[in-house]
Amino acid sequence: MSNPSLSHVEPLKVDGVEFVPKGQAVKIRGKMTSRQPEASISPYLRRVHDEVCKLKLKELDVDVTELTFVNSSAIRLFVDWTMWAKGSTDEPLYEIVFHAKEGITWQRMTLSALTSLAPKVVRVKSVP
Amino acid sequence: MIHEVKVPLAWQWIEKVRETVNDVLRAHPEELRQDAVMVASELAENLVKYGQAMGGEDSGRIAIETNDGFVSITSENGATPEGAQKVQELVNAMTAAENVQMLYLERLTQMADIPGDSASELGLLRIAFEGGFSLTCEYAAPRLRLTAKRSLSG
Repeated sequence: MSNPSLSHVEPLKVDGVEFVPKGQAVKIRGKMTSRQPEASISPYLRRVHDEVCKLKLKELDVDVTELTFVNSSAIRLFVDWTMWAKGSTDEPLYEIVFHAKEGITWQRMTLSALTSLAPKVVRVKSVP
Repeated sequence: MIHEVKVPLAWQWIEKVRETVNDVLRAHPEELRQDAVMVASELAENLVKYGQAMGGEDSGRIAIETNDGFVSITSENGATPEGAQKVQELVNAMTAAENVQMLYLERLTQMADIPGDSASELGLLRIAFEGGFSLTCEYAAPRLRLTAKRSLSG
């Protein structure tokens, strides 16, 4: 039996940013600079979240090493995603493991803040 | 030397601001450039989102200056007294805070408590927390002027 995979979720390219699901991971690359990412991107992240729950994955790898810039409106999306994964019980529905570059300031600072917000939900793996 | 970008109150001009800052600081370390681009971008986004016409023009301006070992990024736009007061209060809270990271985390927690609320209102906190810039604010109706400043050496 093959491993569960996000193969039912199509890639998305919108407003300068690209989302590519593969296996049990999602790669995000480009820049998130949209004025209203809650309209253009949030529904897609919800789709990813729903699929992760459907597949009962305990962990989702999110590679942001090529996501070079995000505006503060986009940070809202990561907060919402974190809360979806947290769910409503003590144990999270799944863990989001961000693969991030230490040398990119927003990744180092904001993802570590997200870890403080929900330590059981968000983990950051540094990539050289 | 001061580099200035006139920013009409339209979203597409913000990319021009990011490009200009990146270009002005091209001789400086990558990390400073990243931080300065983020700062200018957040100021420009606020300018476009909340700015009002001033002196008969539907535009504001973003200026970047390196001088005496510091980089300063300034936004200027029209603002209502209520809008300016809100900004001033946040800047005062950030200036008084011993730990701006705590303010940032508090804001993330508030955002987490109100899912789907489209207003992030995180930009100014991010300038201080993520970028390490200090902020000052001046208001002489209708002109709101915000200046973010940091040492060039980090």
